[in-house]
Amino acid sequence: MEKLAVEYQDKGFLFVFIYTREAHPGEIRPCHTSFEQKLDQAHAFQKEYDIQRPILVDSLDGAAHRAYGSLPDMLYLVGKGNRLIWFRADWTDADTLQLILEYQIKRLETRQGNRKVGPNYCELLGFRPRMWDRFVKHLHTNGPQAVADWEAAMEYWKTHPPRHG
Amino acid sequence: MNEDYSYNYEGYDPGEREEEDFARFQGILSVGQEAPDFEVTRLEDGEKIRLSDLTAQSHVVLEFGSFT
Repeated sequence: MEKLAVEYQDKGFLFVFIYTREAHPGEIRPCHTSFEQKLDQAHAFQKEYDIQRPILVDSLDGAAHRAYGSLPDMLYLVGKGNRLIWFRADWTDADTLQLILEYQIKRLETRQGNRKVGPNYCELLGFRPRMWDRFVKHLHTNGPQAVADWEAAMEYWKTHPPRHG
Repeated sequence: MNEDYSYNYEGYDPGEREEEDFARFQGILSVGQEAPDFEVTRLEDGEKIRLSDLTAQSHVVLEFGSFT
């Protein structure tokens, strides 16, 4: 996403990261109990992952996060001016986003050429790469509880398959 | 929504709460709708900023997330 942020900033797209609650809290990265603590962990997050995009910290009660659906790694593309949602995904995948950005840039060029366009509703089932090794490494960074909770979840899903892909 | 729902939970649990979150995502917004405006804090300088401040200038890619 950092690479895309740089590539598309000159094409009129601003990438920002909304820091939310900790999805897998542990002893080292616990759940937030104050806004100051949330800010501190956002700073640590920025440093650990070398995030260059602007990081915007949500309120302690997650007002923005909840308004958009509360999932841990959602992605939205919002149009300039009228704030129309152009694209939304339950999980972030850079390849899917780039596909959408290229399409929207093409359509923006069409509109600038004074050709009329009309909205049409589209759906897409994406297939994002799963990077389990990296994810589990991050769980360990959060603390033993995060790892234990995840292992318990894997057991739970053997009898309660998750809804998402 | 479950009245016991706590936004900042102490431990991850894939049960009812996650089911609620997925249901909320699927039902809460759709493409073509106006994105809800919100106010957040810019980490760089602590300034309050609204989504509408950003979309006044450019298209915006919003990624939500945390350490994991």
